[in-house]
Amino acid sequence: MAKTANDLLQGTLDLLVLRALRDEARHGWGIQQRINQFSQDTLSVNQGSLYPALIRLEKKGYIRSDWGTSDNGRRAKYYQLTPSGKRQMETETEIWRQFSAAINSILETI
Amino acid sequence: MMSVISRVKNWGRSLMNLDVKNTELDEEMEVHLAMKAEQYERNGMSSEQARKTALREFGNVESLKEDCRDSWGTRLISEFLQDIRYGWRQILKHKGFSAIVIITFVICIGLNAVMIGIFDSLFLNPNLYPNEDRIVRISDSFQNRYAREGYWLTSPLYYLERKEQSELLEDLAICRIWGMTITDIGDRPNPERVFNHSVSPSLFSVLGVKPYLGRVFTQQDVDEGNTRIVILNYNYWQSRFQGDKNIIGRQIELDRTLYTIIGVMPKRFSIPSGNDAQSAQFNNQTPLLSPWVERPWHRTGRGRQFNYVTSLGLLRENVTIDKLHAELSAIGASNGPNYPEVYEFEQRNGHKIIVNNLRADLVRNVKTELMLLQAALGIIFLMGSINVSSLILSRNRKRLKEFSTRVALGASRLRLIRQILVENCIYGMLGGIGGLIVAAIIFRLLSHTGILDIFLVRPRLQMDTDFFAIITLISISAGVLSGLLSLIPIFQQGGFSLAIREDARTSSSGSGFKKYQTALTWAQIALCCFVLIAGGLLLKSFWEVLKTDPGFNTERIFTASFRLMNEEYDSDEKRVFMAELKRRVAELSDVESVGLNFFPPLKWGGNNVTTMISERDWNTGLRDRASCISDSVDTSLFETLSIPVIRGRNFDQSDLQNQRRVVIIDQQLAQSHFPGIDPLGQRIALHSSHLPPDSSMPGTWYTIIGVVGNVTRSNLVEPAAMGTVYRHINEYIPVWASLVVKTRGNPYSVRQPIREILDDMDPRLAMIKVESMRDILDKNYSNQKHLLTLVVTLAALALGLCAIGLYGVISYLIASSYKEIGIRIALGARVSTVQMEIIRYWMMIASGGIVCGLVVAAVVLPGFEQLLYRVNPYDAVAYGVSSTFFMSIVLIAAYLSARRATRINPVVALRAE
Repeated sequence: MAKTANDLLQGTLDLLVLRALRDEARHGWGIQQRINQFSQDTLSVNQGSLYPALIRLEKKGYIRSDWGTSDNGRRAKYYQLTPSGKRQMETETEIWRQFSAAINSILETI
Repeated sequence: MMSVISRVKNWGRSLMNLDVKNTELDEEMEVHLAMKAEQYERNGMSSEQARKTALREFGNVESLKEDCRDSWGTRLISEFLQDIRYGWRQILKHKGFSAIVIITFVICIGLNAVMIGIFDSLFLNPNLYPNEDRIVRISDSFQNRYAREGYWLTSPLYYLERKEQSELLEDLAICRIWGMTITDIGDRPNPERVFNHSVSPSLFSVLGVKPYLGRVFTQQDVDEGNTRIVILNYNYWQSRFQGDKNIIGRQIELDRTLYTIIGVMPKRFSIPSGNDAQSAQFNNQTPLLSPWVERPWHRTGRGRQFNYVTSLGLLRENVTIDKLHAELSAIGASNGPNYPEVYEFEQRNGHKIIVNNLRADLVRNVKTELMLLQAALGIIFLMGSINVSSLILSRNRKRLKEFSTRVALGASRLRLIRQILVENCIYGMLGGIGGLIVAAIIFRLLSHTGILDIFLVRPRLQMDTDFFAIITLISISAGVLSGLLSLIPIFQQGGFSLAIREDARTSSSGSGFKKYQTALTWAQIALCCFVLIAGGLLLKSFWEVLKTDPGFNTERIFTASFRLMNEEYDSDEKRVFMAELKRRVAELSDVESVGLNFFPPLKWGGNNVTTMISERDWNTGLRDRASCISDSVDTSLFETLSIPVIRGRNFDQSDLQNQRRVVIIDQQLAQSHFPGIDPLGQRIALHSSHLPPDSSMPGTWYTIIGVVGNVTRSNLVEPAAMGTVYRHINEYIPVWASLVVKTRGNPYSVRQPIREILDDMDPRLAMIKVESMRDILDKNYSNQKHLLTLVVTLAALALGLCAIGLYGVISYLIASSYKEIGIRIALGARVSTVQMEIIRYWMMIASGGIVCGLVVAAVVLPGFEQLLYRVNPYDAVAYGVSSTFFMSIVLIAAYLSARRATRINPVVALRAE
């Protein structure tokens, strides 16, 4: 199946979300903060895209969610990677690396 | 890629946890907002300001939630549930309206469920035999001799040749019905005349049936000559032998020969030996099976010529009926030259082989009745749908404002349509549930009245999953159909949003709604009128049947038949026995007069057909004989049945003493064979053997001594095709003899005394067909009666539905012209003028509908002509009475609605907006 531009963008967001969850479980707000922080605020993930993405990933079985308590004592929904999510993250990361390397080489040579 | 199953599972789970998920989503968003606000607060904003900024940045929370719900994949479902809740509320809110809609659906769906039940058991239910689709009936017919295609018999030699030579038949069975007298061994013989099927052992493998008790016949039985064995039918085993489980091995006498009972067939077993009502009746009365035995004459020309047995074959897998037909024709032709005379006769008389699938054969005979019933039910269904859509239309019009407001506020049109359809589907489903209950009740009633006997296979309503699935489908489609019908005019008006303008109009005229509703009403009146005309025609036809004069007295007549076997009585003994019996019956106190004949008129089996030729014709060289009915009577039969002697005289003692060969004919024979000639003194030759009709032998010559009135011999509604010749019972002794007794009171009062006389004379002699003439007559038109009951019931239902439909239109009309009438009356219009206008409108609708109905009736009804007796399908009285009746109903409805409309207080009407 050919991937459309929208799929590509969605795929990128999914990858970022999976990446943000690599080390520990986080809640929605935490994921948003983490991506912002990593990208030095160049990429700002909108909650309007983030939550549907989380639901999508959960439906695919890459992440799962549990209710937990945040640092300041709030009840919040925590998302964490499942084993298949971890594998997916690694594959996607590899694909992205190759893809961006290809883009980079094009950008540098032409 | 996720598999379909896990997706469905996920979807199901999402649906289950919908409420929990909604709360969790709310909470998650709330937490996110709070955290965001906290961060702003940490950055130095006031808590109020932080919250506002967070909210602003967050964007539209609701639309985000919607997006999330979209990701769940359950939005459609949740909306659907919402629609159902909404529809349910609407239904509860308008109870009266809902009741009418649901009742309409209940009637329509209930009746259709009944029809489906009937169809199911006639066509689809493989309930009779396991190999049913491969079972064929093979029969031989002669174009020149039998007009009817359905003549279902064949000859023994054909059976033998086909069984031995056909490659395409897996097996072939033969069976033949004949009467026997069964008696118990011992002092109390309890004689009973029963029908017996003599069958080949292959019958059981062809039909694929196993016995309930004991065993069936085997080829070994036949080969070893072990043929004095008999199998009982389940019902007979119950009634005569009280279901005795130790019956196997017991001995009984059949026609005074010892037989051993070897088995009992299962309850629902019957042999499909014929395809008309008579053989169906036979089946129910055929309690015995005995082995069919091949006789030497079966392998001669006579064995090929005499069609008197039924043959049932089992096709090999994947063999078509056409292929078998070709093979059988080839077999018949290749063996033909062995029997040159018969072969030549066959060629000359248009011999043809008929191979029919068993079930197709059974169904063909009820086709007209089924079609009529189906057509009537289709009309009812159509009327119901029209009704409901016209009712819903009226209501949707009232709700237009609500719809357009909702569209203006952003509701999607698709959603509105869906909502209307869902609401209608709920009506449909409720109607379906009610319909199932009604169907169950109707089936109960029907099976008690015997109306279903017009179908040869007794339909059974089986409420299995398939049945439920079909009814559910019908219910939903009824809902969707009526919903869609009611939406058409809304879109003609330009959709919901434009409809708001329509609502602003004050005049009730010129609206597309009204035209549409008028059309619906027309259609409905036309259909109802059509059904009424059909009912009228049938009613008149039934009246004609009742009026038919059978040609003899039917009151206070008792009849009973018996058979004196040749093995026990020679001709003289038979004459003595009959005279003695007659003398003793005549002495009974209740008896007015006693006659004897072969079979009383109107009884099945009463017609012994022979051929005749008049001496005049014979002398002019003609050899074409005419068929006629032969009866044997004693001197008092005509008097007992009040059959008038029109010319000449009755038989008398001198005829017998002088052994004159004399005969009495009926008027029909006199007119057809002696036109313009005095038949008295003329001679005719009668011929009763099985010689071909063009034989060169004249037969026995008889002199005509009298002419009597015509008598309906077999069936009231089928005019007698043949005349009758009467011989004296002592001169020509029939196989059967019947007592015809005219009593002073209740005809059945002589039943027991007669049995006692017989017990004294011959205790093992069975009486059959013990009935009063009135009962025979009633049975004779029971089919017409049942059909009439069905159609009149349907006509009443149609009328009821039409009334509901008209009510719907009336309320719509009044509601929509409320304001207009109010204004006009307020401005001083005369009430009578307004009323006249309303009535005129109704007459316009009614006459249009009635004209359509008359046209439809005139086009469709002639197709059902064969169900009518002595009534023209264009009968002016039926058409006139039906339409006048209908017109007067509409007039009353119109007057009532006009009165109601003009009673409106103008002030109230104007404020109603």
